Amino acid sequence: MKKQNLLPQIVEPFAIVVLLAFFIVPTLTVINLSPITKEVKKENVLGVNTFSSNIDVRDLGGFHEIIKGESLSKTNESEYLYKTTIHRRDNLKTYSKPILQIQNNGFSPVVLSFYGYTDSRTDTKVTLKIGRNSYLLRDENGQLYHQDFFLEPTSNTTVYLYLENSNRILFSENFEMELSIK
Amino acid sequence: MSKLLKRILKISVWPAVLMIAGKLLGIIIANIAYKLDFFIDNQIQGIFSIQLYYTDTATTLLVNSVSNLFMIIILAVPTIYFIIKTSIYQSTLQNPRTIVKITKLNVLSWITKNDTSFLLIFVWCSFLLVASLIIIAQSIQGISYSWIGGLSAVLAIFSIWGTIKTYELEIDKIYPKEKELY
Repeated sequence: MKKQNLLPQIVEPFAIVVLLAFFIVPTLTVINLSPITKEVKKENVLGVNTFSSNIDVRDLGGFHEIIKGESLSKTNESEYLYKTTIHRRDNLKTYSKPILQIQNNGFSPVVLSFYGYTDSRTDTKVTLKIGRNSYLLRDENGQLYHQDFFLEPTSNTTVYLYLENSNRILFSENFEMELSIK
Repeated sequence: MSKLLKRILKISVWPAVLMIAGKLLGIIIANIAYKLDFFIDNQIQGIFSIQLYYTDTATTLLVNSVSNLFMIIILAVPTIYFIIKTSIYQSTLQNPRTIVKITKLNVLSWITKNDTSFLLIFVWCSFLLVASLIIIAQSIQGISYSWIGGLSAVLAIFSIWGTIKTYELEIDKIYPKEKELY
């Protein structure tokens, strides 16, 4: 009696599975390779979130005659960008507006670093007022300064933007301020 | 194991590899060209354990679109090449004018080599169709540029039409049209 070779019949179902895998695997791989948008998770070795997540920065907004079009965006986990437009203004006058509310919900103090600049070369002096202290960001000559502020644990503070100029300014200028949490 | 299955398996390897390679290459090129920072996260839930991600929506959209474009081009170019080559080859068998034309263009040796079968076109077209469906779905979801989704749809329709046309030509070889015989 002639022996029947059963091997092709056994292999064939597997070959069909392999063929299906040729279609399914690239499809799933392509879907998986498609990137998504997500916040970067910064965790320390113990799996506890870093102090930056305990900081709450809020744009106060509101109406002001020359400080308009305010926006606050989070550029990364520990950095914020505050933008506003400073409109035309009179000379020898000072303008002030509360711009940010910063809350430290953590149990350790944090250092808030401020760096602000304008897009034009005017003689505007830009200062931040936090509590009783003043922090100069830009002097009359256009010189820029980095300023650090310590925020105590479980406390909050309001940041005021303070402007003064000796000459009358007839145009609008954009002001940007970087806030980083260290 | 049947010869047909063996041949399909052999043909399927290249488009499957190129589909993944095209997507991967597109991601790498987009990251290098636009100097982007990407992040990789490992997930416990879902079917995919590793996920590529960016921190903003615009970057995700750009990278996904560029990689989709690369993938579809890598799959479409060979498919269209096979369809055109087979169509011209079949035309040379029926129409002496085509032979004259391709002789003038000095592509006779390229066109007379019958190494392109209906099966090859069918498999490549299937992969192109799968890739197109993924891109169209992502365009509808808003995670890929809509014009890339449109381009994929056009390429998919063209390749389906080309595959049907090739099938008709193959059928004509087995069952010639009566009007051509008499």
